[in-house]
Amino acid sequence: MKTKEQYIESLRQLHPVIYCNGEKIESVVDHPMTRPHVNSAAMTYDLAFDPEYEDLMVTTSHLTGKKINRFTSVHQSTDDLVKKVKMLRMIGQKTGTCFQRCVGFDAMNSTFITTYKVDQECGTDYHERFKKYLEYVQENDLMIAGSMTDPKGDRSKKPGQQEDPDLYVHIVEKREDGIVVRGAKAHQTGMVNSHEMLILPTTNLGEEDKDYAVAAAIPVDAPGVVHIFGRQTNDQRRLTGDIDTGNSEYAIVGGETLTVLNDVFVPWDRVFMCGEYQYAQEYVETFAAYHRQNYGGCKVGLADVIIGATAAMAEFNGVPKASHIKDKLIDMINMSETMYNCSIACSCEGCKTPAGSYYVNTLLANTVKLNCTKYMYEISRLAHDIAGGFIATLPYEADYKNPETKEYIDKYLKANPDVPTEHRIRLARLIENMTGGTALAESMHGAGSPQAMKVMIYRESNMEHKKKLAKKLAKIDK
Amino acid sequence: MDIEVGLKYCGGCNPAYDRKEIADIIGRQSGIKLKPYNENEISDVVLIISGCSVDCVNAWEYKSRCGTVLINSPEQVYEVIRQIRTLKNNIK
Repeated sequence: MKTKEQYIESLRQLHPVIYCNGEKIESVVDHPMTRPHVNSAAMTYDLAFDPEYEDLMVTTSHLTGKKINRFTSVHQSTDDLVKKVKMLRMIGQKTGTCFQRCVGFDAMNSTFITTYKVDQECGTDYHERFKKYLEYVQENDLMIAGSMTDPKGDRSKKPGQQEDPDLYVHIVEKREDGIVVRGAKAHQTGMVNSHEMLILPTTNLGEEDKDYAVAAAIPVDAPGVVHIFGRQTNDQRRLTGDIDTGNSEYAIVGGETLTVLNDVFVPWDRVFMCGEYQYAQEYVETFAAYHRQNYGGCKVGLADVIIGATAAMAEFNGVPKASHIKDKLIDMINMSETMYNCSIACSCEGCKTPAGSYYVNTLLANTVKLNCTKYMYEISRLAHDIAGGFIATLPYEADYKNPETKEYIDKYLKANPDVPTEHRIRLARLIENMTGGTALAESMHGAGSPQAMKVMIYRESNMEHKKKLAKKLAKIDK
Repeated sequence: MDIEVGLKYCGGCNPAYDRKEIADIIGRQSGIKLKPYNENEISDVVLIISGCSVDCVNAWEYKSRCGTVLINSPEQVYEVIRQIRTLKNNIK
């Protein structure tokens, strides 16, 4: 396993092409816009060496029998699925933001299942290739960016019907030594500080979309790969200080990119799907279910921080005992633990796949994320309600540090006399960071938009069974 | 004779108390040095500290010469110290 320091050093050895705000980022480790995201992902490495957390962070490879970071593992039991959720919650409590590594974790687990099925039915050898790749990932403790979402273009049209064929990643050439792919992947969490990306299809495909049925592992700095770093709410505050950003160490969400693949060559040993369009939908759904499972882990870890910040703010404001505040905090806890319940349930109700790995209960996994799209907003709303409007009107950090204005701010923004004004400001900025803008949009659309979950929930529910139950009790024969 | 106690924590996803603080108290009160569990060095006793009543650590995975002691609540501190002392006396 890699230590945090080894992970950071390994990023220095890579040379991805990254553009951010009109400039090229030469080092993701040293650039202030990307460093907090590196710090957050580094937590997944650091905790694996901490005795207090290794029980969740470390597991045994089913391929080699060696100890590995859980983020590189394939689930071998429902206990592994449960531990994944607990691990995500625990890390979220420490970073207060996305630590990015779950996407690749889920992409690898869904690829393990899908390649096995494709091989069984098509006589291909993707699964063996993938197992070799997985062993390489485990041995080197790599961070893999799970890379699914294509830009999609006109949503009413399938990939092959788009005016621009590159709006979904597709194969443009098959060579003796590999394939060449073109297109882009959007909203790529953790991409710039990953070692490689694992691309997979983003939607169901028909025969006419055969060239879009592609899964492959690509180094983030492979020739032809260009990353355009996403702008987030208040992200430039990190360039001018540490108070106003709210969470200066780990920033906000996952440092997403628009990643362009300009005729990128992939050797055959890194290709895990090439034209098997009929398995794309199942591949996507498997990945999505694993990924939706996560939100009752990581987001609950974040909610733990938000709830803690809100309760502390009530104390800082001098009103910790107000009954309505306690009532709202209880509502926040209830919503947070409901998301956690759903994640634990979909893990416990998981099952063994023909490939031998374990997979979550799809219906329950989708309820996790659908709840998240509502509850994280409501938890944030209650945090704003309790914290007070000053989280939106605080002065600049520079004015707080300016001797001409500091004493006014200290004097007039003080509440509880036992609490320094700076502490109150810092906590307010943390709440602002975690409960607004980009953070909320991520809760809504990360792992798919709500309608995608509703489609799955309806499909996975046996409505006929429910109707029969009702009719039987109502004594309706037909 | 000093007893060797290997300390194993649960993963700490949502602990109901400060596990490290409890480990420190147990170490101080019992006068026994706790060291992180190491599967390559079998200790006399394994002390498993779970942050809640779920007890998610698979206790059977952790080997020791004399036995395993579990704690999942601060209220159990003195009982756990008693158990470790009993095991220590048995070794003598």
